[in-house]
Amino acid sequence: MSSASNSISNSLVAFSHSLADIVENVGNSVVALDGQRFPCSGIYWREGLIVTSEENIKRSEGVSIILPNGETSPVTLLGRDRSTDVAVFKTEVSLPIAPIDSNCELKAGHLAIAVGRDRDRGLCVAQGVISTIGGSWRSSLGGKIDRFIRLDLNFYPGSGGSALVNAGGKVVGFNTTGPRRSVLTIPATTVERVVNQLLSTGNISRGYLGLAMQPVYLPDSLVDKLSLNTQQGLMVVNLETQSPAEQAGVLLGDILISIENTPIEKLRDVQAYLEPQNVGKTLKIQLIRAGSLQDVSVTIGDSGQRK
Amino acid sequence: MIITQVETELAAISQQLRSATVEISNQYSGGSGIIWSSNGLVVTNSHVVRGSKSRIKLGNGRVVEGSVIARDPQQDLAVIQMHIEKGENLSTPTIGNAQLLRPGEIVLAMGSPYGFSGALTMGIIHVSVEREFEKTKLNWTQKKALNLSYPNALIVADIRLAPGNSGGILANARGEVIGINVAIVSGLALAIPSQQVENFIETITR
Repeated sequence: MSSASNSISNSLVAFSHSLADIVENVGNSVVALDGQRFPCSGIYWREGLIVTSEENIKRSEGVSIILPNGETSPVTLLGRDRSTDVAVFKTEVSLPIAPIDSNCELKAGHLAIAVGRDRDRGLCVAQGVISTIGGSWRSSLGGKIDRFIRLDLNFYPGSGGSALVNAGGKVVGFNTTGPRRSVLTIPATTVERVVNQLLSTGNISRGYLGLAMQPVYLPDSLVDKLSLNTQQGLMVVNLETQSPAEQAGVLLGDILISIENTPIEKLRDVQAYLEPQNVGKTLKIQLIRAGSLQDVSVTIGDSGQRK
Repeated sequence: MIITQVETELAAISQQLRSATVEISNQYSGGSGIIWSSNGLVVTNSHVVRGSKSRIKLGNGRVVEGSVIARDPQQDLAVIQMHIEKGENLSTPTIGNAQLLRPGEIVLAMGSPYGFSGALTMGIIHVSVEREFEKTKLNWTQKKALNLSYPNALIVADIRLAPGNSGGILANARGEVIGINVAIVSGLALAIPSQQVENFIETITR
């Protein structure tokens, strides 16, 4: 019967208290998102902006948030970027802005605290450690994520979009699921970048070619004949009408082997050229058509303005 | 090094909790139990005990017989009287207040998962205790396992439990018993708050 009356007497208790304090502090900036098939959490990232994990957002209308004080308030979707898993909502409510730290040092083994909110149960917390830290990587849709952060903690329903908090009590990103039930974090740097772009241009655009491609191995005879320095290429298996690639004269069955004189072997190699800032630039693409080499110049289109 | 300090304290708490935990086994089921009073009352889950007799293994390896003196499948609580010699003093844990728990606080679980006696796991409080656990979100088997008409609020913790932890201790960072582990639902641990256990004991010892 003495949990509250005793003064902090040992380091485990002190540790426990700090954890609860951190959770309470960050929890004031974490909301629950309602109106989705799966419940998820959102972070009050900037004045009037809620950031959450895009993969949880199935419906963009009639969404509301549940605030730390239990009240409900409607929000409108400002934009979403599937490639970086960032979705941004606008709210009229004012909450404390989450204590964000986009360039703090993270190491494998550091404490990881996931702070989410459930509409009925309030704050939902899980604790574990950071299991892997790596450099920047590209999601399967080509979005650039500035840091690879994998967590060793339990991911519960509703944890999508929950804040990853470090031992210093700072929000370093939001949590989402990766392949094979792994738990990944989208770092704050990436969120900032996407949010900035969203606020300045109104939408999150990416480069667009209008090609569907499949990696293929080239036969030795062809490699010898054309004296290529690569064994692989990407074969065009679909071509969208009126797309930049079609306008540049790419045909079905062409095998792309290099862009700007750099060999390409995987789809991700191509996606690396489709960053938002490259929209409108011209790419020099080398391809194999009917057994001989050809060069084409494709102007990168804007994914937001296709069709 | 703060980590060695924490480690030493954890080891001390674990020792203390281990001496207050027992392993309960009978023909069909088994689990853990908490020595609640020095005269040999052991509290466990109702689903851990079957029949009126149980074999109880103390922390020091000694095995004693016990008879079940109260069972409430609704609350999933049971009380066993151990047959110990008169004057024997058993170590009992300090009982904490589950109402004061905050999300993020550290909790420790002691029990016999899969029959490994005296296993300690560490986690944190997942949601605060006041709110009643959403029973409607559970599927049929979970509801059945939890007993549909569960009357009270439960502690929900992000801590690793396994079958055999049932009836064991959930303690706070001070080593005070705040609950009795009762179920695992989608990875989350559920525990009956210590106050409810005390109320239950009061009703039977009256």
